[in-house]
Amino acid sequence: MKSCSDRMSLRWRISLAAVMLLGCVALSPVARAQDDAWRSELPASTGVAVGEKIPAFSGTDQNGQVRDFDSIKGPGGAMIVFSRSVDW
Amino acid sequence: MRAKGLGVVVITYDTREIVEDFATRKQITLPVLGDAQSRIIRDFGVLNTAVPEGHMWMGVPYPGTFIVDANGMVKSKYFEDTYQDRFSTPTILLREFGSVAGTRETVVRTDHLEMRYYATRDPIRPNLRFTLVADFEMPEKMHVYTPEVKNYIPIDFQLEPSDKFRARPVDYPQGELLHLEAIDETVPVYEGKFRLTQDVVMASTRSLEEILSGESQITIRGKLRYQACDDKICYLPQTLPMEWTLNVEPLDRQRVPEAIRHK
Repeated sequence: MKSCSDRMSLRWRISLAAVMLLGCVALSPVARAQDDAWRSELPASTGVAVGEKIPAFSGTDQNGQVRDFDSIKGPGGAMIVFSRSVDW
Repeated sequence: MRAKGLGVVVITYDTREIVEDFATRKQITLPVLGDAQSRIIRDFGVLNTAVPEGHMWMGVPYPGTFIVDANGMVKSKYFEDTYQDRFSTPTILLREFGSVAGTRETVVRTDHLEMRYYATRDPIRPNLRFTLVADFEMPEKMHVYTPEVKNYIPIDFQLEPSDKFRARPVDYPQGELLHLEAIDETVPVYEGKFRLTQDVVMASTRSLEEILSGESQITIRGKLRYQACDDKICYLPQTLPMEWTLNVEPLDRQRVPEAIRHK
């Protein structure tokens, strides 16, 4: 018959093993790939549909000027480009 | 785009400081709006909702392009399935206006047709989507068969596979129905002038490393097979080799100063 301290020791060793296993899984390439899976998800939305009107917008450009659609468009309309970032 | 009457604006989730640094460094004169709160991005419905809370990317848009008319109605839009890939502007110009100032043309003349082919962009970059274009002109009464034809040899354009790019499906135009009186048959054909296009998406920087560290050129090869007929004779099937040699340049890796980067 095992003593209480033996049982505690066994339980502690099992817990430690479980933590180490979880740690290995978390650091494994498979786990990292799963963590990064969102990067390769298809776009959930491509926004305003063809035939619909774009929302009114305004923002500040690189020169500090406030620009809206009317100040950007040409006689034929506009090309509105959404870019992830200009830095990375 | 301006020559075609379109204004251009770029919208990112960057801060004004980042946008200003970039535009100054690259001498960008078209308006770039830093939508740091992603207000415009949300209003257009293009917020990347897959980004985990707290991640540096939080607030980025799905990259894409809207073409809108002067009243703000969306005429067309261009989005890729993966965030790395990008439509190049010349490909959008080609789709929107049917023409583009391409790279040097190669002209091939046979007894049955004249083919002028080119790429919409040179140099190209990793993950860039551009278009290979072949414009055809056939003499009067000459025709070739569209891909839908039965019992005849259709026109067929194939690229040699490569791990340096992904070829999208060939865009074959709608043909015309031609009635062949001699055999009382109606067949789908191309006559006169027509165009075939094929979009190509370059591989990632990692896959193009060897090219980028070497001669920085890629040769894309393909072939065109067709059988031409006129109102009296069907000629022997032909296979024409095609080749595009394009310069490859790296992505811009220069970043803004550390102090103003996204955290």
